[in-house]
Amino acid sequence: MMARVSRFFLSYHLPAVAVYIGFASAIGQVLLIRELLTVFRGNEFIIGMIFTGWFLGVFFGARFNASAGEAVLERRVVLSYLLFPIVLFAFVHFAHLIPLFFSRSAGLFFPMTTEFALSFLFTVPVSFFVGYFFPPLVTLLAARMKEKAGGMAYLIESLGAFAGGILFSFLFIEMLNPAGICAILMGISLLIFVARSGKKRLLPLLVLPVLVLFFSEDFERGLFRYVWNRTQASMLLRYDRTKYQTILLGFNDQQISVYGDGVLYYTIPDRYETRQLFHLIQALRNGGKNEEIILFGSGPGSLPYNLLRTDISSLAYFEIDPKLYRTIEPYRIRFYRTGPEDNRLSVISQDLRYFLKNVDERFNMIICFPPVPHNANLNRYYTREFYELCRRRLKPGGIMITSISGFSSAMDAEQRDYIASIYRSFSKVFPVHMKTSGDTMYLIGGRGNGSLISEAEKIISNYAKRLPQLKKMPLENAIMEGFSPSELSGFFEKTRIDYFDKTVIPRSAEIIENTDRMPYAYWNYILHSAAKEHSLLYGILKNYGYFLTLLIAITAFVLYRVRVRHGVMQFAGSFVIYVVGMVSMATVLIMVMLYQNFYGVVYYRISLINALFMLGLTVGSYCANRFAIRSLTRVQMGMVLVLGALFVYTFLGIELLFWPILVLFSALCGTAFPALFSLLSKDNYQSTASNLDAMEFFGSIIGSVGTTAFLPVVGIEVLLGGIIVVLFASIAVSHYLSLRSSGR
Amino acid sequence: MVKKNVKHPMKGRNERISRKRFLRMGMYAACAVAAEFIIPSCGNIDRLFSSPDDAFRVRARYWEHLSDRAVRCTLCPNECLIAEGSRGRCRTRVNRAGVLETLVYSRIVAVHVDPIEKKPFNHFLPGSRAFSIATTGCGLSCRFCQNWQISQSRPEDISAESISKEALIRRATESSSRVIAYTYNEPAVQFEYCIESARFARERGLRAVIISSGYINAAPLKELLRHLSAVKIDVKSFREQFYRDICSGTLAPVKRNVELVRASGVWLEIVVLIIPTLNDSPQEIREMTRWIRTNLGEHTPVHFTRFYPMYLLTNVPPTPVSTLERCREIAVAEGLRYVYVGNVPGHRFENTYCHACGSLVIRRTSIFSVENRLINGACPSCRTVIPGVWS
Repeated sequence: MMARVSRFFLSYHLPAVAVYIGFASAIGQVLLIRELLTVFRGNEFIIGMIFTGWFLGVFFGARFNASAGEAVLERRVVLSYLLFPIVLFAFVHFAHLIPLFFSRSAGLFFPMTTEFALSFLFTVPVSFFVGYFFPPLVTLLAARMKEKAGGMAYLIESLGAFAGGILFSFLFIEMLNPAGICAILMGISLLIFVARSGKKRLLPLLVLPVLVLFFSEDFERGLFRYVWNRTQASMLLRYDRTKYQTILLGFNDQQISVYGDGVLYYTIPDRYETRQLFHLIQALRNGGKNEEIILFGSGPGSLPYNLLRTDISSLAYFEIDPKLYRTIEPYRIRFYRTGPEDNRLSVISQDLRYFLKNVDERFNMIICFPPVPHNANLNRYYTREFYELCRRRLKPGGIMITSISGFSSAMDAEQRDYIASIYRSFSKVFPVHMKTSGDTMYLIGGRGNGSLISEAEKIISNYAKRLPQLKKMPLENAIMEGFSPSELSGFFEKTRIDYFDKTVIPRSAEIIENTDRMPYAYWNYILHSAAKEHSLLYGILKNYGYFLTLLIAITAFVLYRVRVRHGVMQFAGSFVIYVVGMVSMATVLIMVMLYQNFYGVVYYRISLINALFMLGLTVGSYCANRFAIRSLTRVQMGMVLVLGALFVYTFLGIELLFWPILVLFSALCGTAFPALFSLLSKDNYQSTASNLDAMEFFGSIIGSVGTTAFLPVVGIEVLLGGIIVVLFASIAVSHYLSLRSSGR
Repeated sequence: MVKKNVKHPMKGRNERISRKRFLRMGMYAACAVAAEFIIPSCGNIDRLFSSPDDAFRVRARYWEHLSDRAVRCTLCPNECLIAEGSRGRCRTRVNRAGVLETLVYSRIVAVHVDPIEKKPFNHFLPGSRAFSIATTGCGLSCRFCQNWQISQSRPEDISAESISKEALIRRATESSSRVIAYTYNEPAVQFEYCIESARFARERGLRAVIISSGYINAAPLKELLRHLSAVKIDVKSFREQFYRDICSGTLAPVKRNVELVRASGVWLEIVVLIIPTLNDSPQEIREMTRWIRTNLGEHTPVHFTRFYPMYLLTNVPPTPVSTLERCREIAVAEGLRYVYVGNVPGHRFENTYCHACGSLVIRRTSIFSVENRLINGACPSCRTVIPGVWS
């Protein structure tokens, strides 16, 4: 049996390695992103940098000693697949040790520049092997397949990546933690090695990954507890991995803090924090009974508890991650001495936007306290489209209350712009509105005239009349004890509201509105954060013209190097594959964003989107090999057409179009590498594979960085337009290539 | 041979487009694209490298000449050595041709009318309004600063208005404020304006107070105290390490300054922002409150206020109310008579209770709702005089 397997592997060893590396790299990429996000802030900027680091590693790996002799080629392949899972395991877990190695005070995030540097440090060594194995593999395959070797290796690797993405999305994410997943990868790589070398005496080494798999839960728990208790302002009570995030509960002095991916969400109990907010909400209620209320972002503590002790008829509490609510529930019950039996409460595990879009019901009040828009996903709760959705779901006379981070005494330009962009969207949708003062400001919009009393004094005096009735309700002591309606004055500090009117309102007339397709507030929040940290990045981000120039200069330099080393044909081919890499990455990121806008939280779906993209690449490279495509001009025209369809999709949002566009576009991208390889390789397989692979990933780097930086300031449509223009430029180069190759 | 081909496969064609020409063309293209973006963004360059308005410059006080036109600022314990053209750590004092100038004289970036309880002062004219002003800059860099937008900015980063001392008094009077409060950022950075306007205010019957980190040198503080009616000092922690790691400062001058204020007879209240696990250990609180009782007296009001995630310290949860209550218990056990829990609206220890009989003398449910039961500054039940400034 073993001999048969060995014989099989002698023939199919190299394709098996390609499948395995594709499989492992698709999983490794997502694992690293997820784990690094538990240490860093989870915004697109950081995700973009992690992607960039990943591609940079592949780029370096592919370029590394591209002219190595044949003797070392197989050693390089073996080294790559054996070391990859070990390095992945090490860096995924080192990521959790970052707060220990690079110590900082509890509660502080790393500065953005440090996060960027660390993202690179933790991804480049892992992804290096993904690039390192490819040129030798192609060269070894070329002994049998000649110029089709590149396309075949690309196809098989993409197929492996597709399988990895699918398995991760639907199986691994639910069943295993990163240590367990790495253990499985280690086991597979060891089996491949034993099958290839026939060294059966190495089989007992399989015990090691099995042990890691078996003890992965204990190992991880110990690691989390050790790091958390030494670096955070609480003791780790428990942690849970869900498909959305890693939940961590910290305990300190009769208070539980709830963190998702390392970011503080809320605490329970939160009685004193809730006191004035609860009364503000009561004061804004129209006095009618049987009101239906939506509540999002408050946490499950005192606000829902006390609202349910008033005369409302229903409360829909939104928490997208069902496991998060279930994890907190026992503690909530302990603090509030109540069970989940109130049938007026419904806990809805859905994206609020998705829910509002698909429901016909209308509500008296929508209370929405989203976290600050430090990523594009959260920015969706501050856009005009979201406010319109809320307005449509309000009953006549209904009220929406939402929060934004405010100011204590004054604002700098970045904070003003960030608030002004949101305020513009809100005030456009809710012409009848008011705002409060404070470090957290509330924007309150009413559906229709008369839904809102806009004078603070009147709100307070009206509430004073209703207070005796409220006192009869079984509310918490901390909420009602000694309450005086004049406490509400704190929400309406005149000088601060005047300052807002003087500073923000004129600015909101001229600033770009915050929308789904142009998340301008998110961008300004990033700028605001960079200014807050006095980060060097501030200057670059603020003047994105310089940034674009920098990207163009780096591209020109790299292409120039190719031209000098490899000549005009390779230069032209490199340019085409560079554009394909850039365009494909940019398009995937845009599609991720669109998906997020339409369907909600996307993180756990990234690997699925990646997998389907890989499926497209597989199909494309298969077709390129099968039909010996040598001219890319038509393929690129096809890409332009699909991007045109994507452009239409951004407006129509027809769900059925999303997946076909993704697969079709990636299939077209997938034809590029095999076609160019067979066109350019001649007898120099390794050098061509190295060059094309490196340039494709280099294009991906530029696509990733560029899209992350420019999408919020130019919007999806303009970015798509830019991509199409670049594609047209590469069509001209493709045409030149096909003319040269046919000898004309 | 193969390698040679790899390096120069298109040798003949290099004559058509040389390496130099290729580089040059690339450079031209890059410059053209760069110009496209640089020219419209000149406004941003101005903002990044702009200099502050000359209208707010005056010659600074408390500094000394060094060699080579360098100066040493002696206003605060940082004692920055400032080369010509540079600024101190506070970002507001600049060495211009060997002379130290302040950039924030009458440069006011925030003007608000606040209840005096917001400062917080619980024993100083309760229920009165404070005309509160601030400029930019601070000698410390506390990672939890509530007013970081102004304290950690340069003067030119925030839009400001010029308020002369006459205008200041007029506007304060118009807003029915009895008090002018130099607050939000560290008042010491606008020392020159503070001294002049506070003296002017006092002459016209208004009181001047500062809300300070106590990070100032002794000599300027003594001068400033002559014109003030009350001082609130934030003692950030009782550990040098905390000051060093979280605030980029030192504790010793702060301790010295609270003693100086107490000795001057100006009304003093102490605020300690309690941050979970960073400065809330019972031992630290015990040492601090023991020191306060010994050096400042048992009647010195101390506020343990609640931390909320702020500025850079956004990933620490709010202080548990039980922690604040425990801090208060320790302080009371150490012999302090007026210990408050702050930033917890509705909490019973926001109220003032008579130290002799325990009666409730001032009820506060948030800073906006104050019920003062004192009669001529004395407890209505036992007639004990409550320490403070009541009229």
